[in-house]
Amino acid sequence: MEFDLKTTKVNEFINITLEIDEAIEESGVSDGICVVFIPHTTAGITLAEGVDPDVTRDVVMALERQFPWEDGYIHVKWGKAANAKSSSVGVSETMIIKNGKKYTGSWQQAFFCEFSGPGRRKVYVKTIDNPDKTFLGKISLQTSGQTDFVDIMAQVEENIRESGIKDGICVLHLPETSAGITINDSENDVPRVLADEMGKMIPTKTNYSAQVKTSIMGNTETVIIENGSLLLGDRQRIMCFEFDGPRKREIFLRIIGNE
Amino acid sequence: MKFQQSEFRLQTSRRSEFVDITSKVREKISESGVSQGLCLVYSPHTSSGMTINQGVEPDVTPEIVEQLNKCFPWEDQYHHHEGNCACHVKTTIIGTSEKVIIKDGKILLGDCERIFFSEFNGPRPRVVFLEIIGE
Repeated sequence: MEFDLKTTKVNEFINITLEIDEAIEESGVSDGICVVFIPHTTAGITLAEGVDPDVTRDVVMALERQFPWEDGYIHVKWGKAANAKSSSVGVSETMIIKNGKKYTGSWQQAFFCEFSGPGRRKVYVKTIDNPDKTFLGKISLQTSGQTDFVDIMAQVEENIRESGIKDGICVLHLPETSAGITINDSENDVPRVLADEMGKMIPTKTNYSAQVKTSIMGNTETVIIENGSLLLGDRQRIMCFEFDGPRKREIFLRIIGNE
Repeated sequence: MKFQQSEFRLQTSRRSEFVDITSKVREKISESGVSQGLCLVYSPHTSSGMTINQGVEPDVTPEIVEQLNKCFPWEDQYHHHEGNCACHVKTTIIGTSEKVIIKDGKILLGDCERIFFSEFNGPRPRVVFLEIIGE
């Protein structure tokens, strides 16, 4: 399932809780999980307080201060800080479905996070209630710099093919605390900008800077599988992000769904 | 395939702290009888999150807390009337849930990895939701 939305500002959080509720209702799933995925590299999703609109305004402001739009990137066409915001906030949320409704906290609302609007945007919703197959896969790689990134899309796709699962979700976990996984643009200088922005936020001389960065970026990701393929945006690539290399890294994949 | 939902409570003791909940999650997975699958570990709050990080060295998580405090100070020019917006920003950055892989009835974690409930507006009673999926 998917729905479109239109953003009206450069930075804006749009409440999409109702649309998600409708998608869950439409799916007819009574008990299961729901993955909401944003197929863009300059947007994200978060669960936040939705009662007082000042809260998300403050979150937008704090993110803008941390990753300023024009900071050092005035020569490029768009503010790449938007990509850094996307990788910090994340492009997916997973929620529990109980008795046909999403089971979340009473203050929690889902927000689409626009970081380079205004524009037309898309949101994917996947519900899972009765999968018949699970598959465990592994990806091994070698990073080459202290900070580095490795595009792991091809290996993820290979594992999905091997699993035989055509419809479901894939959870990736890098079981170490000094490297992360993110879904973002692997071209247009974006990975370097991500590394720079992370470095500015948490300088390398800080104790355990790699671990702090890992918690900010996250070392797990969830992607949707439909018709045997990954449901991603055109520019989105799955990347392993090294903060303490060079090292050998392993990433585990759990694929759940139907053949 | 099984879908098993459960929850547990915890009490945090500081304004900002990371609480290791790995053994509680392990216990729930073992009770579920699921040997191959996934577990969604979910914080239903707007001022606390979930992260997987180093749990063997005791200095690591306090350092993460300190760095986040430095990036998003408690006192800032926030609009929100409760004046606690830093906790919401940190929650958005860290995220409210984690998914762990279950293999042979055990959580597939690195040797040093632990699952942490990340309190950003404590101390207070909190709850964690779990959804265990698998066979």
